[in-house]
Amino acid sequence: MEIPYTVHPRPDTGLANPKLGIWLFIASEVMLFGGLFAGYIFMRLGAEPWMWPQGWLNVPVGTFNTFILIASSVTIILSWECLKMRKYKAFKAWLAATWICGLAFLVVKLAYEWPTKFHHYGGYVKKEAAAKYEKYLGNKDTKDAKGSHVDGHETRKKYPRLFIGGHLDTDKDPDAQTAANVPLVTAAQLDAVLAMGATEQNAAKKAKLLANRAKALKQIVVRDLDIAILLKPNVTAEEKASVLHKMNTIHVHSVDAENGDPYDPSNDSAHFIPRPQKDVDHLVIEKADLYPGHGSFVPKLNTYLATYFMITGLHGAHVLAGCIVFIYFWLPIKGGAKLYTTNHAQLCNRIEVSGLFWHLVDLIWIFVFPLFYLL
Amino acid sequence: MAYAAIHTHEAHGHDDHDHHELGFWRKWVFATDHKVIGIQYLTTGLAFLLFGFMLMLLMRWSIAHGAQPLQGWFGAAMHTIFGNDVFVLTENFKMTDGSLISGYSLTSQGYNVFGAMHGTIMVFFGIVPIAMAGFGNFVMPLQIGAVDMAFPRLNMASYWSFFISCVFMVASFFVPGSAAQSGWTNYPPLAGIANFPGTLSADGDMLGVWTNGGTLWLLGMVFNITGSLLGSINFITTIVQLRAPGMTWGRLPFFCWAQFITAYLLVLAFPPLESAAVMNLFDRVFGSAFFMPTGLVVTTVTSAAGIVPAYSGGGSPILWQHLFWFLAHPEVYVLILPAIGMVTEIIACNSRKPIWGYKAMVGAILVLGFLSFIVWAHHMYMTGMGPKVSAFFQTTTILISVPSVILLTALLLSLWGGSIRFNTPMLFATAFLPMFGIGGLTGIPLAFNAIDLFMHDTYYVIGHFHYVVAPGTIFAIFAGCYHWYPKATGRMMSEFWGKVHFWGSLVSINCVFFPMLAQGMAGAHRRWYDGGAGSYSETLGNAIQWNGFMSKWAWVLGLFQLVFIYNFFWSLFRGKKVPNDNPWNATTLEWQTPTPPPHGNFIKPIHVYRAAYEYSVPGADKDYTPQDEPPAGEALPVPAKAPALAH
Amino acid sequence: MSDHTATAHDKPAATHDSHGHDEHHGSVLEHVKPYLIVGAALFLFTVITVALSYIHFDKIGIFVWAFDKIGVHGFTINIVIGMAVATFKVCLVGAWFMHLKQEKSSVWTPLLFTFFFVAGLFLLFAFAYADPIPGTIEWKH
Repeated sequence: MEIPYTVHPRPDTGLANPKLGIWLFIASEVMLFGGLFAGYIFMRLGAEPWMWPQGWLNVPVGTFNTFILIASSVTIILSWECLKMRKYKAFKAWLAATWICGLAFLVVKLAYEWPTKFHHYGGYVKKEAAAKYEKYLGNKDTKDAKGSHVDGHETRKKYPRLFIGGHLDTDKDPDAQTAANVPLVTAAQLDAVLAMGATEQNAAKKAKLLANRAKALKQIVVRDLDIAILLKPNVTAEEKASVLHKMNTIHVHSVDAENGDPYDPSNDSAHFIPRPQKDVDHLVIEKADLYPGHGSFVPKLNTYLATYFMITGLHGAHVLAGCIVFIYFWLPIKGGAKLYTTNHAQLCNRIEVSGLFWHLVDLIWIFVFPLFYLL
Repeated sequence: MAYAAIHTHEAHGHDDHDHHELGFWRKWVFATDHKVIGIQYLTTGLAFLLFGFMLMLLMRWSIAHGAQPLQGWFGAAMHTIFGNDVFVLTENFKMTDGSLISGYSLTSQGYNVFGAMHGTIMVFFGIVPIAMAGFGNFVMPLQIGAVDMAFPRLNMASYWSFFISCVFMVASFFVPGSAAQSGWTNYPPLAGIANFPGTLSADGDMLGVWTNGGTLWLLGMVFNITGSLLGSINFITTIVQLRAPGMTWGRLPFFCWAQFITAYLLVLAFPPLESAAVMNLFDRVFGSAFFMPTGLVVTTVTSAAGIVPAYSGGGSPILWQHLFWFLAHPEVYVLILPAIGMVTEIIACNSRKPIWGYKAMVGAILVLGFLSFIVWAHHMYMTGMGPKVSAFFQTTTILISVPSVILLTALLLSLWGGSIRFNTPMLFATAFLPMFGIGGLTGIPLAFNAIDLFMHDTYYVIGHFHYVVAPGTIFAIFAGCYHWYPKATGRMMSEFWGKVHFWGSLVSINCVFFPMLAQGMAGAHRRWYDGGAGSYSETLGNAIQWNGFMSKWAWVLGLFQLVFIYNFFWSLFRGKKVPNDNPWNATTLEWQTPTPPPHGNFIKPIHVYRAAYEYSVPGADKDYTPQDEPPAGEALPVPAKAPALAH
Repeated sequence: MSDHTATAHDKPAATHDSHGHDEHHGSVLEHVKPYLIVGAALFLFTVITVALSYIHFDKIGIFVWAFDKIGVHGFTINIVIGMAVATFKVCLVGAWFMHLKQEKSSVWTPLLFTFFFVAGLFLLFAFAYADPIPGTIEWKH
């Protein structure tokens, strides 16, 4: 039998099927992001107030992204109105504007915001080692308005700055980022890993142990060249020590403004315009001087970055999904813009329903932006 | 009027729907027909139910006999399937009588694997797919007089998303380190570090970042949840939008009401768990610390040499528990509501009486659905919740027992004065009532903080919730299978083997679960892989004797399920053919269709004139009056078309 | 184009569709004016949010005094104000862009429950957070 399809509202509920469907989907999305934001709140409440980072994100870029997402929310609704009024060209143009805005948002996120974090490095200096990095931390004193050094102000005394961060030279050393995330390794520990499988007699077991050793070495030594040195039959103690030193130090070639001019009290608060990083000849940070949980700005570093990447990542996935749907409706294909002539009401429904989803994506961002960028 | 006008234009514009006979793949595999999808869910779910049950049988071996090896071909087969992580070769194991035997023993790690996967599979891959997605898909659109679900393709996507999750779950048994070990609740920090990437399996293979049991469990759950969400959105839209003309909310069969509330529970409660699963994935794959407290040490290959992969810390394991139970308490009602719906249908039909208190029951499940969202932390009394929070959750938990009791009472009173037909579905449905009653009533003590602190994580809890879901929901599922089997296949299941199955299951399942309540009160902890024989036999005293008893009855229970499997397949080919389209003389619309229903369900336009359970109406010519039978002496209105699907 | 007008006539009487497909009246601009105004307001409030985040409300007496009444101190004042602005923006989007202003009860009812349960999620979490048995939960690491 013929199964009927409809695009029109059911009289007693006043709703078309897809509209109810998308609202239920939105309800579930609200709960999904409700769970994520609950996670954010817990992470933030659980962190020491002075450890919850502020000013790590680029506010102008975030504001720009907010603007284009709001703009795309306006354009999709214009597109829908034009479609309903049978202005085909305007409908197509506004729809194109919508997904172009969406893609622009993603490009900014994926080509600029995220990569800059991946190449960034940071960690908390242990209190006992803070004196060694005083030049970059500036806890002893600050400058007054005239520029002369005075006794440090209260906040700094109460919550000394222990965070040291900057850019890794990933151009020179592509493995710098991975290497920076490896925990501290002592000579004895390295020897223990190198000795894996050495005394095993059973050939099959030995092969497995050696395979595990290779994987373990890749995890802690990272750089192939260094692994080759360590695995040389006649490796000298000096060579070993030099590899170990390389593994346990981080070379930062430009430091954050806070560490560049630690004596400026205005560096203690978030900044609208990000301050330029300061090139340093050679800031060498020893992993032994840092608390565990240092590394490049990836989810592993702290709960702030973990929530940041997770929420913006899931939000970005929603933006991408929306863009794909809009492009599908925009293309002159059977389920897309061709419906304009074959089934206008259906196309109206499709744009309305995908538009509702798009507004949801927008309003999630309206919460994400202040929570992560501003507050 | 509007109904009649709906399709004139676009129904002819599209020739891509159903004009030609569908091929095998489109009809049975990538199907959009709700009945086929329902059967897909049912068969997948039943297969997983059996799988989860068999895992439990192996666990019961471990509980009753500890490390005593499984001998002969059986032990070897288990070892071949599950590998060295789960079954380990034990030579010269000393029995109590002094004899030495050899074979393969279940390891304690393997017990954890089975424990986690038994729970996960039973809840998320067995009961919900059968009771909600299977029966809901098959029966609900028929009962409301719809031609299909509102979004047939979304329905297909829902099943295939579920199917992918099944693949992940099954695959997780075959990666190094075997499947997840952290319980179906997946509590961190254990959930973050069990099956940890970089650790070694029993074979000496290193666990991969993605290919390890814990991560695959999470990926499976993400797909499972996505499938559930798509399905539930479809269910709600179908019930709201596609009810046949005349099918008002007051005439909706109770099963559809139950599905409606269940779908709402899933739509609103499942997403927080999905977000939690994503967070846990981040913890496992990217090394973040959502649920990882500071100072956690994981033993990996490199940490054997003293190198500790550090978490940044600062995470909160309690956060997982909140997000998990925010789903998992409503999930309890997801497990039970469709079952109550099925039982209601079967009791009304077989007691030849309208349901007593239909409105009260509908009100009760509405209240139940609402309250189920604000009771979750009664699972968390042991996490150090203060008295104020405890008091709140205690109160809401006690409140929620009121609608549950209303449901049970209404069903019991429905039997009063009926002329009951004790056929197999009815036997299972009536047995459901006391079994669910025991399950529910044993839950009330657990609602109180003071008692729960003692009972928490004992076999009492296991006994309590198994009474709800095993002789409760699973009996209802069996009842549903026997009841709707003729509609789906055109043949009746064997009554004789059905009764054998019923009485055998009823006796053995009680012998399995009732001793658990006593054992739990004696202090048996739910996570001892040897049933407490190793270190706690003095604490447990005589209660430890029950371990062997329960295990034996569990295997007997398994034997009686073979009867069901035999009956199921035998009846498919040899069962008695149905005498007509309505073999049970039922009133609801699914029996007013051809058998089995064709694609599109109804061959005549459906209009509903009366309430769902008009049995034994005084003065009627027969003891049932179908919902679509027009009132006597009234002129037939112009046939209206059924509401249509979404484009 | 005759095909399209045929579609329009085939529809059931559109009484149930308040923002219906009445393409015969008014210009585009007239129709979309509310959306443009709301869009402009959203832009404006974005600027305001950014600006507000640079004001240290905990240094301004009147705010300290007012927020002290509801037990909010320090930088949390900024968070509360920022979230209030964000909520207002979300309401604008919901009411106008998503047409919740004129939506049916079938849409409203599940949404109300959703908001109720999200609020429950947050508030009961916070409740549990604020009332631990001393010494049992190490909330801070």
